[in-house]
Amino acid sequence: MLNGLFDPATVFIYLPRLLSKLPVTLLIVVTATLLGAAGGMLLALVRLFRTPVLNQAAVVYISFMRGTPIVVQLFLVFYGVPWLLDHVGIDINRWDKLFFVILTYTLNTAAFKAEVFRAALQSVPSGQAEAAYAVGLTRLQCFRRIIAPQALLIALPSLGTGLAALLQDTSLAYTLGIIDVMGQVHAIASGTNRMLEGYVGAAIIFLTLSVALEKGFGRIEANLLIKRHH
Amino acid sequence: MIEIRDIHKTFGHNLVLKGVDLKVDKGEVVVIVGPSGSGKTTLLRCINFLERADAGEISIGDTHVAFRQATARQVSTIRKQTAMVFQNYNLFNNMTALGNVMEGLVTARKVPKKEAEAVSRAVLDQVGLADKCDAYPSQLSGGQQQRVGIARALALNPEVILFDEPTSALDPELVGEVLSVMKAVARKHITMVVVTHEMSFALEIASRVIFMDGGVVVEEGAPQEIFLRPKEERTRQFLRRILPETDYTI
Amino acid sequence: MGFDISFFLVALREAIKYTPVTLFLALSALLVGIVVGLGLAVARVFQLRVLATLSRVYVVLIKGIPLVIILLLLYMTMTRMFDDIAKALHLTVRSKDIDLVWVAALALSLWSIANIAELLRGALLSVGKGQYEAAYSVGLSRRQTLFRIILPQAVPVSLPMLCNTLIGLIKWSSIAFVISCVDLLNGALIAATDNYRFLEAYVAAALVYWGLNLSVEQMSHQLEKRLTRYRKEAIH
Ligand SMILES: Nc1ncnc2c1ncn2[C@@H]1O[C@H](COP(=O)(O)OP(=O)(O)O)[C@@H](O)[C@H]1O
Ligand SMILES: [Mg+2]
Repeated sequence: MLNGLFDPATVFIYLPRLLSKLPVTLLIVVTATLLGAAGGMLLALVRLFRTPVLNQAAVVYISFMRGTPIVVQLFLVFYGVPWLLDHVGIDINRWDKLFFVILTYTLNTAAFKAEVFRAALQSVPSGQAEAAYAVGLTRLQCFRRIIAPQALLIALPSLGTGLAALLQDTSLAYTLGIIDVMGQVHAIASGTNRMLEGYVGAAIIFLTLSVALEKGFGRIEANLLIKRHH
Repeated sequence: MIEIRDIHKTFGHNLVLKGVDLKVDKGEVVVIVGPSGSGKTTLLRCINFLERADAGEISIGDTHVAFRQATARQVSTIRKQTAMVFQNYNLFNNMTALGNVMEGLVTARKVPKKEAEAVSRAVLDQVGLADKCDAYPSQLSGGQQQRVGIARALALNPEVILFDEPTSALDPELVGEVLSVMKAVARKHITMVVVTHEMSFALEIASRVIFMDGGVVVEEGAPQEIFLRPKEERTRQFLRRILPETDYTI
Repeated sequence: MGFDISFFLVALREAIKYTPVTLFLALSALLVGIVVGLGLAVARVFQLRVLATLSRVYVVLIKGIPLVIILLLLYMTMTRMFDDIAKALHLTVRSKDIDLVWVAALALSLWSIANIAELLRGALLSVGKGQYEAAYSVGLSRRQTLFRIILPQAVPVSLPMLCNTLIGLIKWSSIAFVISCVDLLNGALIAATDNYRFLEAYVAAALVYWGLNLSVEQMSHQLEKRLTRYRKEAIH
């Protein structure tokens, strides 16, 4: 009765073809992580220094990004950014969809990272900065050499979970028509009755990546902690 | 009466108890001393089955079991005849002082609530905390918390109360109140096994002092004997460390 | 191409109209997650052999596989198996007749179980070992220790995190649209199928999601305040 429901061999036939689109998934993850980290740091600083107006804007922005689904954000950016730019005379309607996807994940990542960075920076005891000023470091030097390294260590576990979450989130990019791993499943299997095998293949890829990610982050963390203790 | 024979316990490759015998008569107060890591805590925890010993036997009252083979029911019987006072009190944070003392009676022993409450109030009065019945642990000082801990053990009316360094987590000025409660308990002829380095308590109250080192009993005897005329070199070394000013030669 | 305010209001009304579906999805998954997740967390903390291993593997699987894939896998197997079984039994019902809300609720529940199992495990472990030992030492059984001593302390710790899970569930319930289940998001989108005014529909949906999550957050703050007030009172 369940024959024909699931064919394991097909999964293995699909896997190489799905893996060929892994670079697209990784491109989204890596770009959004790097740009998102930069944006998140800016937002965190705006929040920490309570820059007037910008601070309130950051609060609203972060709340919106954390309070709405990523799918909705993807389409908001896809439809909304061209519409906004159209008003200032820039036409980006024909830009690659990948641009909008990466932009969305970057904006989303920035909001989440902002909160992580802010919490981490705040948790470095104020005595550290006082000691740095006492030995004659400038504000910037103090931030770069004393505060930031300690905050990074505190933030590391959250950054790890953030990266894992981003990887999971990218599974929705296909809804915009991107041919990444998930998009490839639809590209090669839709219309056939072998969609299930395609999804299982994608599941295997995501599962492997996320386990590897967790192991990797665990190791980095352990290494940094050891270094600190010597 | 409580009797332990040839108790062994290993953690991984670490032999912590290497065959300890311990016999405590009814009403006796036995003080155990010894350097840190010598296995004192482990011994008490094994008696209360918080840790499962690898070998040895225990008799308390009418119960007689081998540590390894003890069934869940036997463990529960032994636990009902022993009570523990912890180094860091371990009061139930979600319960008042009264709730802490009543818990074992009501939930474990199914004593009717009214009766349990009367007993518990009386015991709290005994440790000088009649006015703190409704206080939560976070509202009590360390000394008060430990007195509740003692009341919690007393209320169960066990064959023996095990004390694991009950004053070592306390600020110095709070040690006295706990020691005086313990002395009062001892005077009621309640059987006690006490791990402590409070020499005053040991000298004044202990029927016997046991010196443990490296997982074995090195020497035991009356407090005066052990503290003032130790026979073993290891005992002397240990005492020299904790009582540097004492002159043993007398 | 302007922003059609009047259509935006139509979409907003549709989104709000289908909000109960979204809330049903999120809350039912939360409930299932709490019940089953608590079981798994207890299995891990009390080291119940088989169940503890099972629970660990389950969490790795669910956290490693994107929820949308889980949803699609469930959707496909359930609809196909359902049709096969129905055919074999000569029944006339087909998978088309099942309300897809249940498939989405099941997928969200699977996710919520894993999340809540992890956070409750953390909460259970945050209650110090000493509390367990003191409970055993006064003669409580493991079950009594769990229900009388550990859970009363772990629950307040986990409440803010449970609220976060609820926010996560409200957001993730939006993926029900990939199996065409009509929820808040799909309600708004269906309104736009005739006129292609998707931007307005997405803005409307976003605002409703945002509002929902802000209220959950508010509730969480309120709860937390009440809990910390209790603790503050307890200190002096
Ligand atoms: N749960 C445990 N796991 C591993 N080793 C332990 C554990 N408990 C105690 N030990 C080890 O057993 C030895 C004795 O510890 P303990 O009984 O606490 O000594 P004491 O109370 O005399 O200081 C120590 O070396 C300690 O590290
Ligand atoms: Mg000890």
